[in-house]
Amino acid sequence: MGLITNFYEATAMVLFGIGFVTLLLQKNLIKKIIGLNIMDSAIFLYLTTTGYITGRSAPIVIDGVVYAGAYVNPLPSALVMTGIVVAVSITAFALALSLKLYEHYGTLDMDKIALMSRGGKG
Amino acid sequence: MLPIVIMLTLFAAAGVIFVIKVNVIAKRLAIAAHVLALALSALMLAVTADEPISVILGTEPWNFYVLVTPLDAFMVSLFIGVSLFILWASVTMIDHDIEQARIPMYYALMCVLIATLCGVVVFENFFNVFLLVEASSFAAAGTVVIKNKPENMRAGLKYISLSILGSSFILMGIIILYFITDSLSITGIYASLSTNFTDNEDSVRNALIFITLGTALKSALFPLHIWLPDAHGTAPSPSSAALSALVLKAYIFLYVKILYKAIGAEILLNDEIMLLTLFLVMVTGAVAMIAGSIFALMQSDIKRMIAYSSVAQIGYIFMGIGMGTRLGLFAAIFHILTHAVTKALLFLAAGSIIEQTHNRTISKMGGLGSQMRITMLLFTVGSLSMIGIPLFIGFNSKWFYAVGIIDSHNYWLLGVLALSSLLNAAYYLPIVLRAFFGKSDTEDFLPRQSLECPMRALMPIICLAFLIVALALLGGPVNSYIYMGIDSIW
Repeated sequence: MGLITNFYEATAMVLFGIGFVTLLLQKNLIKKIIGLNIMDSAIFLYLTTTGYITGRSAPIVIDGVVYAGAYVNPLPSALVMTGIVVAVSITAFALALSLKLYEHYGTLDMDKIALMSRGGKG
Repeated sequence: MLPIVIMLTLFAAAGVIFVIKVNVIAKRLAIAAHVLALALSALMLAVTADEPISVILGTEPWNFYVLVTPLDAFMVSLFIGVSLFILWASVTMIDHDIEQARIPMYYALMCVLIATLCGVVVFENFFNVFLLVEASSFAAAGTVVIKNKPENMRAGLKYISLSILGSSFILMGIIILYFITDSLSITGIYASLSTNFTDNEDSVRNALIFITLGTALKSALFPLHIWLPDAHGTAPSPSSAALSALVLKAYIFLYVKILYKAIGAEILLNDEIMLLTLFLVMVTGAVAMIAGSIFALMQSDIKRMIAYSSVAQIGYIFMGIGMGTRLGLFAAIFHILTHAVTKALLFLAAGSIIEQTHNRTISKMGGLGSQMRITMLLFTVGSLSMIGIPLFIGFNSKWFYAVGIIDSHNYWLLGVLALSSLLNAAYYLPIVLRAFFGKSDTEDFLPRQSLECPMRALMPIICLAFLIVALALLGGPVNSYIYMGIDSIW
């Protein structure tokens, strides 16, 4: 049964869906950013899972290298690390921009902001 | 070590500018760094013509791996060269666009942006490439939001979220390729796929689809272009020029490298699904050529119009790549050059018009030709080049496309090409005609006064215009260099 054996992947997919829908359908900017973060976490979970091999240890060398087969694949973890850094940066950047928008419009609702800026132009 | 020195020069300039924070020094230092980098990249062009430069530190897949083939060297020189003109023009233009206190930050960001774009082109290890793709997205979004207006914040937010989504797609594709081949470098993936492709056909196809989607999102292929008009339309004019002329191209070039260097022509062109993907890219490109132009026709804001014109031109480039032939790829690479030079000129000329008249609306530009004669003449050069009139580089590009289309037997694309040129004329020519022959709104009660920028501000734009004509007439060496570059990766 695929779903039982691959439940990490299944969870990742569900999380990705939740994040994506939040990103698309929420009007509040903060909630959109939270959606983006959930989506990122789903991708990280998926990547970490693909690198994990049951029964092997983390690739941290303490008493010299045993043999390559004793460790899980470290590359996905490294990519996830980088991904986390990027996710943190984008969250900070997006929040800073949202703050600026809030200062100017007094709301975080994207629809209202779009309406206001259109009203301002015309 | 040449490519690394080029990148470090730009990064170092950015660092120094960031620390010193004096406007005059920031401008001079950024330009000096670009001149130095341009000289080094010209040297690199000459060196790579004989032998590719390669720098490897560490072992696979944990390494720092740079490999510069002639085509990469060509792209690096193009990026730095066009960016030099843009920065030169920005020296006077930027004062009107952003706050004084932010100017050093702006130049630091531009240096980082160009350095990361060069990195995306020259790095061979996908892990390095991915980091630089992300870094360049942030730098690019930074040059949009630096203007500190609410519409810039909205455009920047849209740009950065979709851009990061695009990089995630590219990352997904890279991960899939890594799991199949156990390698992260382009040459390693190519070597591994040539033996074990038949066992992993589906995975490679999926990876290609992910990478195609990611590139289309990051390079604004229609219908994933929704962020482009906002970002390019609201950014300060020099940023718009850099974003449109350079940033989009780096990701397209990465796509070309993945297609022909990582997967390889012999696998790519013999697999039904991948050929179908390429065909879809070509058709989407053709649709973008028409749709982008129609959207451009409907705009009243000059910068948004030029931004939508970029959507159409990106369609051209993707169409050339999607043909899957050498001549198609050649036309696409040549169009990258054409669009970079021409669009930089158009955005800078438009920026100069907006700066002097404080008017962005096309319908109010009547009679501008008598007030800003040189600027409008330069804009005309850009327009004619975009339309594809002989003597300008746009014509060469369209000629190569026509040859490529006939060579690949997709004759219906000739009609699309002709229609697209006609539409280009339909939105660029009215501005020119109105400026030179139209009636000015204010003519009746105001004495004619020159609104021309000072000559030193126009100099870089004039140089770009000369470059457009010179490349069209004396472009033989460039053509043969690109041919040689394509031969080296095919």
